[in-house]
Amino acid sequence: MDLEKSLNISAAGLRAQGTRLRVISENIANANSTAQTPGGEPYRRKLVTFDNELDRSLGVETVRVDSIVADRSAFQRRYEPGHPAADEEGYVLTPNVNSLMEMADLREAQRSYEANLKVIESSRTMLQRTIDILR
Amino acid sequence: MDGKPGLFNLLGKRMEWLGQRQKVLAQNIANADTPDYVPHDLKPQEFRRMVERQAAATLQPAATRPGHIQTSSLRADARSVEQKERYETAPSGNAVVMEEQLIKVAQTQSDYNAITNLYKKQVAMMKLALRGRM
Repeated sequence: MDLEKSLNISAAGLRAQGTRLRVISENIANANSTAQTPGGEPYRRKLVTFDNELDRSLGVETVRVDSIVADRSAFQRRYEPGHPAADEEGYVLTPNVNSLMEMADLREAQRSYEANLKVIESSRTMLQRTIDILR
Repeated sequence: MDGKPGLFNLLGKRMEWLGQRQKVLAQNIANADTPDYVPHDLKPQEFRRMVERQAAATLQPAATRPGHIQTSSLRADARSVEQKERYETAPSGNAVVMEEQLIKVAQTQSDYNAITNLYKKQVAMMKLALRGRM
């Protein structure tokens, strides 16, 4: 039935947004993770991409996390000569995580999550209404 | 009801259409962050077509083996089409506007409420006729 399918689709949406939230929290948690040795790379920011997928058993297009890729933008540099990962000039590479951007992304993910929840709620009410006809 | 569209029949059809629309809207919202995704919507259901397509039986593909794809959403009268007028498209190519979709969800839900209430009223009237008292 279509209403049950829409519950399934929304659940897939929730799952995808949940994964996105997880990746964002990884980024924020690692915002200060630098390398241990001079030549090493610090933490690289991760990005989530979504894709829509045909669920063959339901015959509907749901959403899934396509891949989690690394952000290839440049690392930031900070002057800190005493750091174990500092180069000859005293600079340390720091992760390319911008916490402001992560927060904005977090809010966006939250908003999408809420929208999916709303749809579930609405589909549930409609199902309930259908059952109420029997009363 | 001898080929003529009875009230229950029409109400049932309307409910089916609204259910399908809810499914399409859920799909749009779930894909609100998918690159290059364009929101879909159903063609509006016309009363005239609901009445006139009673006689002609339509053939429907059936899923008879586990590998077959369910085709309930591919029926001719309620196929989802890509939305023509789009509010805005994000740089990623995604054209889903959350507010618009949520308004549609709310509309669908209230329509559904109206239909189920009508259905209940009709049943109550039939019961009243059967019993002859309230």
